[in-house]
Amino acid sequence: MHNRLRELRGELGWSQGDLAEQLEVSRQTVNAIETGKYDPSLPLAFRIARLFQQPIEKIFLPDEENA
Amino acid sequence: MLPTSARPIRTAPLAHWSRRQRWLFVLFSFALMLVGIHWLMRGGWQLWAGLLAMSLSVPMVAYSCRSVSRTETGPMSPAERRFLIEFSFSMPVYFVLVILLWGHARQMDQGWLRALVAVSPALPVAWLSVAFTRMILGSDELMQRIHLQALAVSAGAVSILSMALGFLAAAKVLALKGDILLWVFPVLAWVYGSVRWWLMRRLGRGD
Repeated sequence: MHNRLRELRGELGWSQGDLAEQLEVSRQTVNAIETGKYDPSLPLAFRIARLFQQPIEKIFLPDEENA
Repeated sequence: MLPTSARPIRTAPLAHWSRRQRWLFVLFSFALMLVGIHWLMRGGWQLWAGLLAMSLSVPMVAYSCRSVSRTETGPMSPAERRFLIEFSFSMPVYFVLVILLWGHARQMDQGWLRALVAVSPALPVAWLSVAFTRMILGSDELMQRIHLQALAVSAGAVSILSMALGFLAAAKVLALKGDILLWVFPVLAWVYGSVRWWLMRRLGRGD
């Protein structure tokens, strides 16, 4: 699964630590999601969508093979 | 705005230190630990100095190593901070019980008091296990997964090793004493720590 987390975070000028604090997760978790090494759970994905005020499908995109 | 309890705590005075200063602190912590072990072995007044040195150096080593880690970057979460505090208190209790109390068990008459004295060092370790479980439950979903993977590997490795040694001892291939069981917890902790370090390293450092 791809995601636009890094791009959206960059638009707001937040560091990974800032985003982690907002989401109440560790900085490593934000980094792992951004680099595609970890796909978040649905509750966390919804928290991310709510934070960026975007639909979840505009932040998390399926791989081409799964699209 | 996050509630105060959920906000990560920026504990570290060390976070403001240069990398070189933090490495010096790591070396100092390990040196204090070695001096503490040396004093403990000499006995007399140095026993007390050794107990103090060990009580200070063990949490210092844990804290200082985190500060130079390339994977454990970022502020400590409240769950991690609480664990470090409980670790810092349970370890001195463990050292005191092992060094000052446990040795008397051999000279005591058989009975429940002797059993209680002999098993007493396991109590702070039980406290540590509860604190560790609490820390895992207070971690976020990815960290919980990493803890679980590391614990699964370490529990599997130690179980297989224990079973293999047990079969060898039962078949009289090896002569093992019961006190070898004292190594189960340290080996478990070491394998867990190594696997966790490796898993965290795979995640990368980020920005």
